[in-house]
Amino acid sequence: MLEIKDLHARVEGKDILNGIDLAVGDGEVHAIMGPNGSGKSTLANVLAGRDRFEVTRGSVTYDGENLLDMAPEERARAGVFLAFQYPVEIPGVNNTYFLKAALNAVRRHRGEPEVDAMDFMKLVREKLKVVHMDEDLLKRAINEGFSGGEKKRNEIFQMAVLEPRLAILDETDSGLDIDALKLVADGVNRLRDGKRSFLIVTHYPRLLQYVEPDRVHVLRHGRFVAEGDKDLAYELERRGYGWLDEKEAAAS
Amino acid sequence: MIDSAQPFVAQFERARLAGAGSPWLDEARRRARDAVAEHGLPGPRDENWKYTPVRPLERRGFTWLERAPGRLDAAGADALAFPGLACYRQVFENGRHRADISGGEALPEGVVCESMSDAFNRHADSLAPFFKRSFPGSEQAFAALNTAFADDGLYIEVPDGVRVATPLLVLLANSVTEDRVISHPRLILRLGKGASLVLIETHAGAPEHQNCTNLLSQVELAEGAELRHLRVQDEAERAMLINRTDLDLAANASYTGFAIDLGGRLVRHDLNVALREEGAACDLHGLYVLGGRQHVDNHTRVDHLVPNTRSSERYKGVLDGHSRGVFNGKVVVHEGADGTDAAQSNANLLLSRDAEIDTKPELEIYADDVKCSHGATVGQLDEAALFYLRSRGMDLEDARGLLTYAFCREVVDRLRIREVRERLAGDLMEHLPSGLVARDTG
Repeated sequence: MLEIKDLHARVEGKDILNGIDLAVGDGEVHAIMGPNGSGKSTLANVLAGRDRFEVTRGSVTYDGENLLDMAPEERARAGVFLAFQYPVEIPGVNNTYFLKAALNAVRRHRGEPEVDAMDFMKLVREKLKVVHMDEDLLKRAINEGFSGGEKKRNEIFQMAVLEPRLAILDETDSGLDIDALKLVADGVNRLRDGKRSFLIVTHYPRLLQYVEPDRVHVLRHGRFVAEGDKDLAYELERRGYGWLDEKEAAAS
Repeated sequence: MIDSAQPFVAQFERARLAGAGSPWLDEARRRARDAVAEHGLPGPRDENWKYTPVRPLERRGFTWLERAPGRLDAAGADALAFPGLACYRQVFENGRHRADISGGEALPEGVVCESMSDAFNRHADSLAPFFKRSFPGSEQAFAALNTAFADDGLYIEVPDGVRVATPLLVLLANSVTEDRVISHPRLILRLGKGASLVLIETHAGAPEHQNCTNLLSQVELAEGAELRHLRVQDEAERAMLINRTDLDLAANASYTGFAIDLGGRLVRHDLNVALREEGAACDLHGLYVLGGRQHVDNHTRVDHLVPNTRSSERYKGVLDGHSRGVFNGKVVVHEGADGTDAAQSNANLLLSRDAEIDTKPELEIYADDVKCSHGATVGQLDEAALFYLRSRGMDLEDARGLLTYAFCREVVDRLRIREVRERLAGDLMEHLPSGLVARDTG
């Protein structure tokens, strides 16, 4: 579904990604781990199409198409979803209104009929249960006055409504207490259907105790330095990222 | 005589003005005419007019009309201002009162609402002080012109303790006539002690007209009186409007103003608020949404004259195309006016490279114990918010439209009357460059 080859990217003249290769198949869950500043969030944002990140080399193919040629909204309609590390507060734009417009943009793209207000509310109530979110939050402006946990849950809720093919979670677990983390993990697990793929970007292995990945990739200085199955995450949990330095030093 | 004054003075000599023959009025008009002849119209050397040249007004040449052309009917008036709104309506066409299509819901007993030409006879004593007020200097030439020519308009008086529930809608409409018309309507409004009123002032007109309206409003709020005032200007593309409002607030009186500009070609507002006694307060809200070659200038001045008065001001603007906006907000805290609380802000969104805003908050403080703040921002739409909306599948244009709409909505959402709020929300959409909001209001 997703194939990244030799991806290089920079932001404000600084090289952040230095040759990423990654293949994600249908229904797979990949975890991208790494210390702060390793390029995890840059990778997530490049895939979603944020234009302050400049791709200098490499390619990204999504369902056979050149993802890098697509505008952010085209990627979204084609099924790419980014759960933001820092969801933006947008005063004056109602949550429900925004989400309905987004859903209908996606549906138009898929050639499906637009949902009317009644069907939309039915869908919303069903999906709210997935993340145990209060309906009142939807009456407010986007993320306005939401707590950190509410913002993250709103991201997962939007994901549940938009039903993407590829969901990228950018440090969705950071800043969450254990209960909120379990709610988020539960939301993700419910959306795993064998076809939808996930890219879970995280600093801590904690989330991976609840969402079991198929593959774990460790990013350092803009390159993958280790790859493995879920056991790699536990290894990192026990030994920390410093262990990789020792490994690297021993190898050279 | 100064050149720029010449055509107006010539008009004055020929004009047959209602109310002529009353010595106090004749005298006031002559003095105003002399002031215009002596100083001329404002020019580039007048600090308060340097961003708003009135040359187009001098060049175009306007005639002055003795009566309304009668091209506007009741249905036309309905369409121009808040159809379906339960209100008491006073309609003007090209500055002339149209009694035949005015009226509506009844006003409480004792409330006076008369056309100026009637009021000259019946309320001379009340009107005289307002007409005797002098407006020296070229900067005030339009107010002086108004005094020289104003023989139409409205006189409104609400007695002590009367709270008027029905909104009073004043529609200043312009229709097309053979010549371009200049009109000088006058509005004088007095609220007694503890009285309250909702005033909706609407400026609109036929799409092709090129008239100029020079409106002067004078408002006096007695102790504890409360005025909520909405002014909506959605004039034709080539319309000109010069509008000055002077307010005088006694103890604990309050004024809440909404100044919304959507249309017009050359528009100038002067809003002057004198907080004359303790406890007086004003809240000024403004919104201008401009495009094309529109030019809208908002000059506001709040005088804190005594201790313990409060003012807040929040104006927002969206500028597209080659439009130009001017905001000048002056707050003067006079000597001894301790305990003054004044907050002011002006936020602008520039949607086009060719649009321009000149914003200048001015604070003059001559007292010690005061709480004052001011700030102005000029910016583009927030990049992070735009990306967030697009990352969920929304078009760039739609996302821009939605964020711009949200920026404006914040002002409109503060209006209390539902029909007015909804109509304006709809009008906003027509003036904003957006596909999405026009398709689906949610």
